[in-house]
Amino acid sequence: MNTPTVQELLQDASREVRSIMWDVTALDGPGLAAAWPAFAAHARDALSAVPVPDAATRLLIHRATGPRYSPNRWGPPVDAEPDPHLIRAGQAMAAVAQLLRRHASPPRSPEARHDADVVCRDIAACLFVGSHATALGLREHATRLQPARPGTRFERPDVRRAVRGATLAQSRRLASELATFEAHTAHYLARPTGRGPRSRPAHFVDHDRLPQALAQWEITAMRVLHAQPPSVRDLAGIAHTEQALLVHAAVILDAAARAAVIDPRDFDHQIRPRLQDAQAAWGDVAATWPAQMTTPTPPSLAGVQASAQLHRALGQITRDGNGWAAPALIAQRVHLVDVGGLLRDAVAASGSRAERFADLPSELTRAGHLHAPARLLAAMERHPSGRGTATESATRTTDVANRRIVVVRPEQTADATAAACRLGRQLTSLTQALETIPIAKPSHALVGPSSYMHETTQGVQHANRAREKVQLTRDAAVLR
Amino acid sequence: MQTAMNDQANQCLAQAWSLLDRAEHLARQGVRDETGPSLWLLAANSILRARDALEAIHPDAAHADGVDALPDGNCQGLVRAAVEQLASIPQGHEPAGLSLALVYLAEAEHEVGGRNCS
Repeated sequence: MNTPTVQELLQDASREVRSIMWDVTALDGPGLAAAWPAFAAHARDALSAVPVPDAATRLLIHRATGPRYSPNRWGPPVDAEPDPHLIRAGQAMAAVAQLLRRHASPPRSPEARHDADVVCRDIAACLFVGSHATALGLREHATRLQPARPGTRFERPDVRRAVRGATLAQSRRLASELATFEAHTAHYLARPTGRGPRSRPAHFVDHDRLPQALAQWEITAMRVLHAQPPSVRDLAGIAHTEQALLVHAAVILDAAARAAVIDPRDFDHQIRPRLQDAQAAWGDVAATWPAQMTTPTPPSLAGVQASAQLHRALGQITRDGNGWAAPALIAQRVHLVDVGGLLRDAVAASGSRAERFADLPSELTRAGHLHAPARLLAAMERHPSGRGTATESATRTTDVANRRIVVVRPEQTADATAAACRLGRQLTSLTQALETIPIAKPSHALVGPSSYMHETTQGVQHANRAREKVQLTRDAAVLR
Repeated sequence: MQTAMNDQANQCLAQAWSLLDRAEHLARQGVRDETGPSLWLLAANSILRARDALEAIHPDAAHADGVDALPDGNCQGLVRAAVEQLASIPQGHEPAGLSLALVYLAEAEHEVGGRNCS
């Protein structure tokens, strides 16, 4: 009889824990909670059996033991039928632990170390999904339970049956502990692998990812920009993301020009300079919303997530490890005609975001939403943009001396409005140029080494020369 | 005991926020001064996301008083120090959603890896 390998057993375990999530409407919180301690113990044994675990793995082993003191490290036992998927996953983990203890020896080569790391990650991934599903089930279970009212609820057998072995407090506490454990596991899984370029897998590009990320970004950015009031952090985040979008667009269109999807001369003379100017202008707009300036609203997690998704979707096309991908590689990864069209639409759509940025300064200041340290405002007055928008000294010396946070007045945001208006003009010019460039079929013969790094360097440095003039942010940060 | 643990968790979050704020500033300087400025822009953005995610899940992190003096160092060191701060939050006192901030922080760590700015 063939004995399953460690990899096969881990696949079984992974399938079992993932199958819990197949129907999230039918999660059995108490059943999962009843099975969790044994599953966690088997997974911990499997992790411990991997020879010479690193510090992060040792920490995860420690966390998987459970947060409470013995004997019940994951809380009192839940009197419910244990979830069968989690039981089977635990059995697979126990078999993994047994196999590793019997056969595994300390890794002596980079390949063996990599294999050991893969096993640790697979076990951690099972723990992550298992803890997530159990916490989700318990939270749902907790919301179903009404707080116990003696004499009313406890006398009704149907309500008692609904508890199914896990009380409200027990469910909430274990769900919270599992959420904590889930966070640690996510951190463990997100750590760099330390794998060398030799073992890097073939790069896979999901072609639907960029359109989806762009659509999500446009919806989220507009929603955030029209919040009443938006967070200043979000405004800076959106502007920086738009700036990054244009950096990526320049890399992709550069590859398109080298593959003759667009005319290389048109790209060099019409598109590239306008992309650099627009990108610089987004940087200037971002710099007018420094971190010390606030509205009553905290940053939106949805905005951060949409930005991250967009960066990742673009990065899977344009990045190679920690640097830029070569134009030839980009041409292999995506259909440049399609992506070129997508980016053209995205640039056109970002014009509406720029318009909103032009309206926001006066809107926020007139409503009294915008606050800033007096020292920051004084520093802004000392470093006007040099474009004729400098204000009269409007910040009181006593506010500066006493480090007060003051309401920003409309005239103190004139630079922000001016920067957004300049951006609008740059984007209009870029959009018009992009619309005049015909997109042809690619010719791979023309793909050559990139001059992009040099050109983009010029663009970003131009952005920073302009930003030095604005200088809103960090001089005053030191004073804070 | 419980209050002390909460205070320690809040202090760790505030310190991590400040470290990331400083690291983002250094990365933006990298855009200005270093080679490969467009990559520094992406690194700065990734740090920004980690910082903002932290503030979104725990708004007080950005407005806390009594944050210790920030260590000297490059932005790689500052991001690592932020990771250590979050790892030292007492178990059971992590704010909900910390896992998301940790994912962004790991991305930022990867993005600044091998780059020097100070």
